[in-house]
Amino acid sequence: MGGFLIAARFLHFTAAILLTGVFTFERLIAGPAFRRFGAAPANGTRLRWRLGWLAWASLALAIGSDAAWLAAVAAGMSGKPLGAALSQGAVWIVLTRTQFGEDWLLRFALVVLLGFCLLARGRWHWRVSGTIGWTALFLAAAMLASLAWAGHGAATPGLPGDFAERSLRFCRKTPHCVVGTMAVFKYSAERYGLRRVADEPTTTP
Amino acid sequence: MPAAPVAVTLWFTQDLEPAFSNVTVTNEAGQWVDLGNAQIPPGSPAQLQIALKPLPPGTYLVSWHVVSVDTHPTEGTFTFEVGRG
Repeated sequence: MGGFLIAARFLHFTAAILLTGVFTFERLIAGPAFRRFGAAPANGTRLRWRLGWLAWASLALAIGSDAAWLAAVAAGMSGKPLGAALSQGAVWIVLTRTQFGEDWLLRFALVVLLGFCLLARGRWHWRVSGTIGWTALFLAAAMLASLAWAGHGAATPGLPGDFAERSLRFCRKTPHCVVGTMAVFKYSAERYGLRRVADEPTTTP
Repeated sequence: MPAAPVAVTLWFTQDLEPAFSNVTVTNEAGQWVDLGNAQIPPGSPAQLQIALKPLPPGTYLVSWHVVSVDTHPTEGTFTFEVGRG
């Protein structure tokens, strides 16, 4: 069970980082780069499609891994095997009567809203979908930040200390996530030819 | 202890999850001597308390199993004596 829980958390953290990275990259790097060079070239459309695919895959991974995490925690908290925890209502108790369950429901709500953003994103040219993109970035970042509440940060006693401790854990986790995200997308930028886009001559009427 | 306690209160270093935390008290014969109402006192999320029946002199075993809000379970036991020593 320990290995299962570790794997679920690892995959969920990975998915949250990827989601945040996709929208960060699109909003702050790719979007401005393509706007600078006029109408989005073919590479831009292709890049947008690939980013969308990555976002959907990350979203699916986030949902699956979060469900696995919930099941593993329910088994651990109830002291029952995984199958028994699933069949005997431990999951529902965890969701409705524990702090972990509250945090989980919040993350799930953020994931659902992200899904709606992705659906809406696909229907608009990316110049029009700026609001959707920024909303998705905010939701993904909030989902990533909420992971600070999912561990020992949840256990610090006292409201002031609780908020301070959670904020501190968030600040400690966030730089690692941001650096990891940027490293992933540095490779992606080179892989998907942003350099070629930058080198293309601009056309003048 | 010279006089029987009316309740057993446990203090922990982290807040507890009420749904998965429990404590029982049994006598030397293994019979329950608590009232079955283990609870986390309002305003004290890191405590677990259970009321007791009137206890005659003897040795009693407290068995506790708790889960903290960071989802980690832990358990333990200890004994106390009433009316001796």
